[in-house]
Amino acid sequence: MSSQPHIVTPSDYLCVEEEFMPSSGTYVDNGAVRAAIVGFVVYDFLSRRVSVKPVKPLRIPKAGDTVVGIVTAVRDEIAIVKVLGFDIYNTFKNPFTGLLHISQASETRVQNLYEVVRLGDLIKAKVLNNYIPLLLSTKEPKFGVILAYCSRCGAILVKKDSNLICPRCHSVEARKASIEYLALAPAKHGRHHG
Amino acid sequence: MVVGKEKPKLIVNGKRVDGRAPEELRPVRMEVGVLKNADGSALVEYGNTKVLAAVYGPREVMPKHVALPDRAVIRCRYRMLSFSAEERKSPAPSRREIELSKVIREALEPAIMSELFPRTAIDIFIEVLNADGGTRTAGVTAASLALADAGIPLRDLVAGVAVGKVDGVLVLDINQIEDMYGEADMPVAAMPSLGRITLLQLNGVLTPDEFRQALALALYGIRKLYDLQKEALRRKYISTAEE
Repeated sequence: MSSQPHIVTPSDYLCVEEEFMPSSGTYVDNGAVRAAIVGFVVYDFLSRRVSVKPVKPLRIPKAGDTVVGIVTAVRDEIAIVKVLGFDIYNTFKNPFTGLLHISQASETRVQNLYEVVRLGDLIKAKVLNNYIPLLLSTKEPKFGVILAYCSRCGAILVKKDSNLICPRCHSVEARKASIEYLALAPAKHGRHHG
Repeated sequence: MVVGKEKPKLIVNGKRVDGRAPEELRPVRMEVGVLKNADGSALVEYGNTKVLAAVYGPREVMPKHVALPDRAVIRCRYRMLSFSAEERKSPAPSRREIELSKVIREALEPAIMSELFPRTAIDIFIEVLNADGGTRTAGVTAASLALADAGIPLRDLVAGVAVGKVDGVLVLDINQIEDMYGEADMPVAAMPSLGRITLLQLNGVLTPDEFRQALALALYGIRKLYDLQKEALRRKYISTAEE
């Protein structure tokens, strides 16, 4: 790769299809690979792919991403989640709608979704698809509820052993708590600007 | 500017009312990323015509039933601010603004790779700050810069310019007076690298031969504007990369 990064703008000619396979940030027009976004060209000589690394990446969740969201509705088999961002310190300008199905809620069998999440919970989940509504999964230990309120008195629940307990009214609530429950530190990829 | 209804002489000694040659553009200024809250924005000036464009998205569609299952909906609003014209313009959307919103949207749609973002919306807002002819073409130019600034994949940038016929002469990038008293006004927008025209309107009368010449003149102007667009984008991002 060249030392001086080469900036391209939409429609800039990159190569012909036979030289490099078009990858992200590019498109093919009449056999010619062209740039679709403003960014830096990356020619991968090993896999023979050409891509454009955007100067300002779009902030849209895609399959495999970790997101946080607030549960806005719960039914027996499905919960609706307002997906706020990749972490709570750096939210999207506009939230996306996500769905958590009972089959994706936990590694173990659950009777109904109320054992997993409740209205108003903040959850961390993995995105499974690339379109709206986003399908979410909380199957891994790091996914699940990261902040929950007592359904009786509204206090923030604390994790004791594997249960969530209200420090005020001492009621015990069923949730699929993440191992990061109440550990609301910024994620390792840190804050993005703007 | 011009008092009375008499038609002024638009071509004197081969020069136009503002001293330009017939195939000369007005001084052009383009700036990218001027608004902080928008995902992408651009400011474009063609002489005294000054247009601001902002892009939001791709974001979730509200109301939901508007969303398309296979691609993004592109919504475009063109608006002239109350103080943009010589006489105060009512802020209510006029018939003309609604029509131009549609025309500009259709000029941009072929460039946007909307199939990459199903069930989302891309919102484009075009505000005319000062109107002196050629606002729709300046709007298209500004909006395509704002789309590129937002990081939305585009097949090409779209640039636009109007060609007019005044006192029997074909002139490039007509201003308000030339539009008002001229014989014809033809706005054109195109994607030069792909050789595709995305907007072509004609108000007035041109012979087939004049039409061909006018189109060639418009494409010549578009090519120049297009180079300025690319330069404006590069300038913006080279300065951000250095920070």
